[in-house]
Amino acid sequence: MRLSRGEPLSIKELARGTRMTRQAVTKHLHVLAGAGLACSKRTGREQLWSLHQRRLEEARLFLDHVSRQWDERLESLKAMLEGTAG
Amino acid sequence: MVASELKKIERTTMVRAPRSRVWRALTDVGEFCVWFHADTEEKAFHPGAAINMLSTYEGPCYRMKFTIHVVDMVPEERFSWRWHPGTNPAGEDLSAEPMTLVEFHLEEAEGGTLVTVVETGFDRLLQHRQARVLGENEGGWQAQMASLERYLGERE
Repeated sequence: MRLSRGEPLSIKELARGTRMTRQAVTKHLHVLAGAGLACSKRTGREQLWSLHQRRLEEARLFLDHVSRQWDERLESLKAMLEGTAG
Repeated sequence: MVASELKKIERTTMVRAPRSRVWRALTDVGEFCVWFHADTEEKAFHPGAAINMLSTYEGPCYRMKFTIHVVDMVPEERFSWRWHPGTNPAGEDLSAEPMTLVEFHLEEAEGGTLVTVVETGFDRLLQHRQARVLGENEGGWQAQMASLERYLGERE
């Protein structure tokens, strides 16, 4: 997502050059904001969004870790049930 | 990062075994412990049960304690529980953190069973952790302001 480059951007600017609609971009931003990873402020008529870089990186590492654990557990379940090693 | 991942992790795998066999592997405590790499003194999962376990997974989590709070068991269809995800090798008290919900769904497929695991609630968990971090920073500032006030007060 382009927000991670740093400067606050509007929804219109964010949706430009992507295949996502403004509604989709807005939805993503609200999810991120809900997790405390993005915030917005109104300047004049525009609402500008920023990402909390470090927190986002930490969240990404955590979720990657949890996902990998599930991959390993499912592999292990499969191995047990199909009678292969593991 | 795809924002939806903050809400949900979902994985599906095809297991070449009948649904009843997969159900047993998921919900029989002894069998569960084999593939999940865990150990427990409890004998059975049932809705409402809190099952204390120890990880037997080799690595930093070896002997780590965790608890599975069973939510729902629909034979051969759905098994769900709440827990604190990830690793906690330092054994921190996580009881104040929101738990995530883990759901296993079984579906009959040609030649076996489709096993889907869905874990949700990461947004609430992350929100809680951010709030805690922010709280700690605020505490830091309050302490510094108090110390500044004391310093200024002493000079007056």
